[in-house]
Amino acid sequence: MDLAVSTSAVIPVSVAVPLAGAALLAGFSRLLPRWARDLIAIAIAVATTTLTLILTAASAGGPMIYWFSGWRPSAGMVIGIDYAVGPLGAGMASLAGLLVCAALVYCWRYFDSARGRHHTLVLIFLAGSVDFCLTGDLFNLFVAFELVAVTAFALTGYNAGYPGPLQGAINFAVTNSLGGMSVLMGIGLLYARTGSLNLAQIGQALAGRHADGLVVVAFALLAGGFLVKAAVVPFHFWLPDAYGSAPTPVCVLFAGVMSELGLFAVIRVWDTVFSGLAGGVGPRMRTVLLGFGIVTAVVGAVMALAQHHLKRMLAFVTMSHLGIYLIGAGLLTPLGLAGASLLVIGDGLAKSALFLGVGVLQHQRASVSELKLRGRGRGLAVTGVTIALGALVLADLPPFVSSDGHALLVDAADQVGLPWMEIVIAASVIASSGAVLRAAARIWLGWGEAESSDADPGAADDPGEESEGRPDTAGAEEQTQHSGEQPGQQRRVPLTMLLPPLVLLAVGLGLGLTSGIEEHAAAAAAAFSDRTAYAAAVLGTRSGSVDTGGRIVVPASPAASAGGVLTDLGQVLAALCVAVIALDRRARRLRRALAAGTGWLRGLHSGLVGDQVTWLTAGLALLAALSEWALH
Amino acid sequence: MSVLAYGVVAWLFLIGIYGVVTSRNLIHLVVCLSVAQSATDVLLLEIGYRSGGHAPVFVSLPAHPGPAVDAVMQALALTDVVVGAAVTALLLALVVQVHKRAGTLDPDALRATRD
Repeated sequence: MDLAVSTSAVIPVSVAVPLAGAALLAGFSRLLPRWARDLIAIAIAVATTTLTLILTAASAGGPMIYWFSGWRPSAGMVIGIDYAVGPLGAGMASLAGLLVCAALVYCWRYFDSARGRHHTLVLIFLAGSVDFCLTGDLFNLFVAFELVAVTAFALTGYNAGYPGPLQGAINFAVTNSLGGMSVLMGIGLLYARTGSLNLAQIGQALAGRHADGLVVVAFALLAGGFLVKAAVVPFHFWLPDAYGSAPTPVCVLFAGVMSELGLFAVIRVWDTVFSGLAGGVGPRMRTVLLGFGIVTAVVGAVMALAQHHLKRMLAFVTMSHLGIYLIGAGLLTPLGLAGASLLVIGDGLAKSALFLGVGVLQHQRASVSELKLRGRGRGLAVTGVTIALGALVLADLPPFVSSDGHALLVDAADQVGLPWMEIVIAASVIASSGAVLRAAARIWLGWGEAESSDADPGAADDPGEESEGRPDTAGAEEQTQHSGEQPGQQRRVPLTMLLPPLVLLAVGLGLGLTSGIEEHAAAAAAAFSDRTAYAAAVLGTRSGSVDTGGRIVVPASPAASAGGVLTDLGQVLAALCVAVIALDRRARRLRRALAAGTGWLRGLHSGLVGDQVTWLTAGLALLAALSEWALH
Repeated sequence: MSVLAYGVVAWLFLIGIYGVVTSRNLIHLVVCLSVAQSATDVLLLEIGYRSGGHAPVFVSLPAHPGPAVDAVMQALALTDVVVGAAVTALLLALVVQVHKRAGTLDPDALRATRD
């Protein structure tokens, strides 16, 4: 009992710690020396990660509810604001904490003159993410959403000295602000219908009812707003601009945490609020979500292959993965959600390692262009191994944890009767992994033709040489400081930049080797998607919770896992083949045909904020029409 | 009254988005974004409104104060105003930087930096 009390005290502390740390750094950054600022920020990130890991473990037995100031619901009526902690949300928060730790350690030497503001922003970002994952209140969810968003805008434009980051930050801020407005309107409409802001209470109020027009519009606005953040087609146009121009350590947070939070919110809101609607809404909503997921996965993969700007390539890889997560979560079964969660962890770690590896290139070679870096990887062997390994993990190399997630996802799709979903997922994964492997082979092995961008019309979408070669502010400062020497050719890569990506990959490997991780994920996902048990726990009407204890999903059979390993190895091989074909001289005609065939798609990614907002509005309208079909 | 308010919400949101889409000036674009945002505020206030209700201030009330408008929605709108102010400030700061670097406020000019 004592233990339970002390762990529930951890819940608010896990948000308060990074917030307090951010305030401390913001207030005293001038008084503190550089190393002290770095140490404080890292210590706070480590503390937050530890706290959220404790929560993940402690909430495995059942949801932990924390009421601020003890304003508990009375007679099933919510009057306060709650945190409803489950293993899935807490696990997501832990991932955020871990990636923030890695990014901060990496920053130690990456920025030559990190001002205190960077760390402050990163810590607020972390606090917002943790808040987002734990909260059980719709409005609190919105506040956390905006907190994460505003810090992310600022971090994207951190190198405001260059046009690239400026464009990225402006596009990002405009589109995501509109997404935030959409979310808030949806919240307002739900409140108008149900008189509550608490997820559990709204869910109870809507349960068993038929959705009317107001509820349909509320869902479309809420989901649309969150999908902007999740960068789902056609809401995704801001993503390559923002990821391509943000400082590389920040990209880690964006790719590993921020976009996934958007999907997390969609599923959280669906599971707790809308899934109880009468009229068999689940299967039709599944069709809608899967449609969005498939398009996103495919578009992201195709665009990733067309990029030569490494950060933009990883941005599209991220987007393709977001589509796959949406497929997993959109199956609307606990098993699919479990698979998607493990993929979020596994791919998130791998993508972060890749971004950090690209950061080393940017720092040492002052370029992130695959073509300009051809054959210039020598001397950066560790980074080469990191990137190659990361790319293979993206293709679900066993025994990394993403391969477990992939196996669960495929099982879940089979159970729902969509076995062909496996092909879509495999194709996207192979293409995006192949793109990264192609870049690695070109940079470290010197494969492919010498710089002849006319042979690759795909370069048209990439930012030009000017902005490509332009490093982050830090790099630029560094260059001016070291202007006497060749830009970094002789400098040794600091250990703080080599180790974090390797540690992240090792964590992915360790989790993959943990026995029973699939069962844990399935149990966490089952608890997450059980609306009645969630409502009972929050509202204090303990009716359904006993019943749910035994309803944990059947874990995937070992036989299926064995088949999954073979599939994963096949994917890895296929990704290697894609990389080879993409570089082979004889396949030039094929490449040209492909590039011509996808030219219209690249043309859509114009980077103009007006176009992006037009697509966003059209997407909202489409989503509203589909929601009407699915819910009404 | 109520229909009019919802009409205003739709009008503000759409005209704001139209302004963002067609803007030829970044400052104009940021202001249009604020216009779209004011739609959310009007919506929230309208949802919380009760005709004849007094302001949700519960000190030194008369004996029979009658109904009050919904304080929760006002709190939401207030938070939204704060968020909007932060975003607008940030965007304007970025716009100042754009003008410094590129010498123009045309949103399409940013594209020139990419190719």
